[in-house]
Amino acid sequence: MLFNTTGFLVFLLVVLLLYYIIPLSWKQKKGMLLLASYIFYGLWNPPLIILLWISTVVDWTAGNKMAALKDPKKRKYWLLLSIFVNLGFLAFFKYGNFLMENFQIVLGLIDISYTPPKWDILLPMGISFYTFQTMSYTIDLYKRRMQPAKTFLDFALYVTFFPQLVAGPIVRADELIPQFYAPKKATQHQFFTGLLLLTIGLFQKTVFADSLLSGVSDTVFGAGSLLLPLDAWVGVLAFSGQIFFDFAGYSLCAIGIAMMLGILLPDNFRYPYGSIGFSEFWRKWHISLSTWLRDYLYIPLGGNRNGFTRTQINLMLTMLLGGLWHGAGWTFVVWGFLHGLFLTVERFAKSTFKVKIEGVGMKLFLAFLTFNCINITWVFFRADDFKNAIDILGSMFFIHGSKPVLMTSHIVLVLALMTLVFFGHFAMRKLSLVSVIKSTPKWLLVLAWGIMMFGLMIVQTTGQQFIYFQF
Amino acid sequence: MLAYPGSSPLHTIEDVIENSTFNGLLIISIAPGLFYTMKGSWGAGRGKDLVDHYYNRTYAQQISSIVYKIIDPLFSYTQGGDLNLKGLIERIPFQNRDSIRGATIWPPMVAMDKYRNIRMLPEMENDSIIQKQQTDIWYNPNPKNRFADSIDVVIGHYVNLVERHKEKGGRVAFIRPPVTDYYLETETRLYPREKYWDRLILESSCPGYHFQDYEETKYMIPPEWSHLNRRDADAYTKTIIQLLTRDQLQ
Repeated sequence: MLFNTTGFLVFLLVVLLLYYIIPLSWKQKKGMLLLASYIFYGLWNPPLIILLWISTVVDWTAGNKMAALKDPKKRKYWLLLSIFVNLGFLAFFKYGNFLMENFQIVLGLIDISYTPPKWDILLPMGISFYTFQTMSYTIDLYKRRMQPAKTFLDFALYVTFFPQLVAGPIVRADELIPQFYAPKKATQHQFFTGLLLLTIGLFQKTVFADSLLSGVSDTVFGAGSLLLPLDAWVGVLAFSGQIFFDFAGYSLCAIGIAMMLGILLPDNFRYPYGSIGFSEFWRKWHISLSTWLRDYLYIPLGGNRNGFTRTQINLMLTMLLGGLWHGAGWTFVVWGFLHGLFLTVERFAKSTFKVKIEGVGMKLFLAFLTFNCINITWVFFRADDFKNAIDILGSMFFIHGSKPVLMTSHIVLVLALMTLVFFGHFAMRKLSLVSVIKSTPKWLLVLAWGIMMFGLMIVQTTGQQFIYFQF
Repeated sequence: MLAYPGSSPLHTIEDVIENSTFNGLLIISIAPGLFYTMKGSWGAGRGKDLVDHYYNRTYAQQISSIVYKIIDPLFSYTQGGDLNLKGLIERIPFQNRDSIRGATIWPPMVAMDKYRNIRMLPEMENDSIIQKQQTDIWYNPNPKNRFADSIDVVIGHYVNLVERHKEKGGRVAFIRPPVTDYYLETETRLYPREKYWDRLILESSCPGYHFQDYEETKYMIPPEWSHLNRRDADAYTKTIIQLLTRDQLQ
């Protein structure tokens, strides 16, 4: 189910009615939430719930065994089983065709002709999210960082909790499972803040991402030829805005819906486009993934404990795999590589030139530089293939086409919106959305809320899928 | 009306004939600029997307569709006209660069009910400014890849479809509702009747009711040259029913 559909609004209304109006015990309410979560997922493609069940049962069993066993070898086997099942799902459903295609290329290099069958594999929605989430549970138990969930119901709900099931935030077990132990009820303030976050998230997704930006980026990336630099830059900026509003919008919806149930989820975005440098960007962009990669990949690889070179290798490996997590294609790997490269350059520059960054002008300049470097990386993320990416980059910098493809109204709109986004993010760098909501006068909040509701009603899009569902 | 407004009915007709058990009378209204476009064209592609969407809808999308049908009539701005946010923004009169064609701004013309019956809106019937907005569009049609296939291929395909429908026990009647002025002139020039309409009727062996052939319909004047006002639409429908009854197709 998609948050930005009328069907979901009815679904949410029914869940809230059952949660708050019908006198159910806390255990029954959790059971209802679990059932609702399976319905939420199954209404897309019912058979794929089986994958969720397998993941749940395997990780529940592995977690309990690891908590009970003392023998390190046996504990490791259970951990390996959990990782094998979860990564196995990912490898088959997400990377199956990609692996076969690359296998074919490698065989071709040694003059062996092999044409693999093209598997018609349906990518289960949100598989990358829930597999990472459940793996964090078993890895944390293996490391004895936490206690296993008290009941199977608590664990199953942790794996399947519908607000964040298909596109995050990727919540750690110790952040979410303990919240299921005692009855939860949103305070009036929490409920309305959650509703406001849901509205903001839907507004970002449907008005900005789908209605105003997606068409422009689709036109530019689908042009199939070299473009004028203005068109190329505007198209890339449009995608930059689209992916932010799409994904941050989803996260806000998830956090808002959970808050309406009295359950708190962590922030996933903190105004990333105002970041000064890539390290800050990754502390603000898809925080739940970047911290997951840091804790379960970068640090186990050695982190920054073994000298500069080894640190950079670990960093690059993490970013390459982070890129691959986003999509089964080499363009995503290049996207990860560019981020790794920028992070390495930034670290090198920081350690070599001990310049203190002071003054708004300097900060703004560095933030603008970072923002544009990020935009360049988005070209590989959005492009269908390398030719497409090189055409766009070429049009932005070196070789220009001659035919415009964008209407003036679209150019003005994208430039105006993304200028606001950049300055807005820069101004809000040290703030959180919830704190801004708290400090805003009520009349202004209601006015903004009304405008967003009106925007949602006149937008008239057709419930487009969130980009991150495919990851 | 089963086809999507402003698109070829091809894929809808294919779907009705090939995927449904319907074996009654299929009345196919022909707007040549859309009807004689085939699979490779933009007009037909839009119809195909919608037919595919119908079959590939998830359960969640089906539920949303049901809910939307209930709340849709509550919003007046969805009833005719291009009043979505994107459309409104595209109306801002910026000067475009050479070779960029601005978005076509469709004035409010018709309203469609839940049974897909359409009726002209009073604004279009009465407001000459709105009528001019529409006739300006007819003056400058967007030819987006309309002629992807030859006429032999197009008519051959429709004839095959008609044959399949007849094999199921169904019948087909073609109609051409009234058009006038520049719209008619363009249509006559691009799709001469003898090369298109007459040939289709002959090769498909189906009855055809062209507005120019009947006293009751040949003098009807659509406000914006291509769609009838509500009064004429009622009169035209009655005439078609009488003709179908006369020919024992009803």
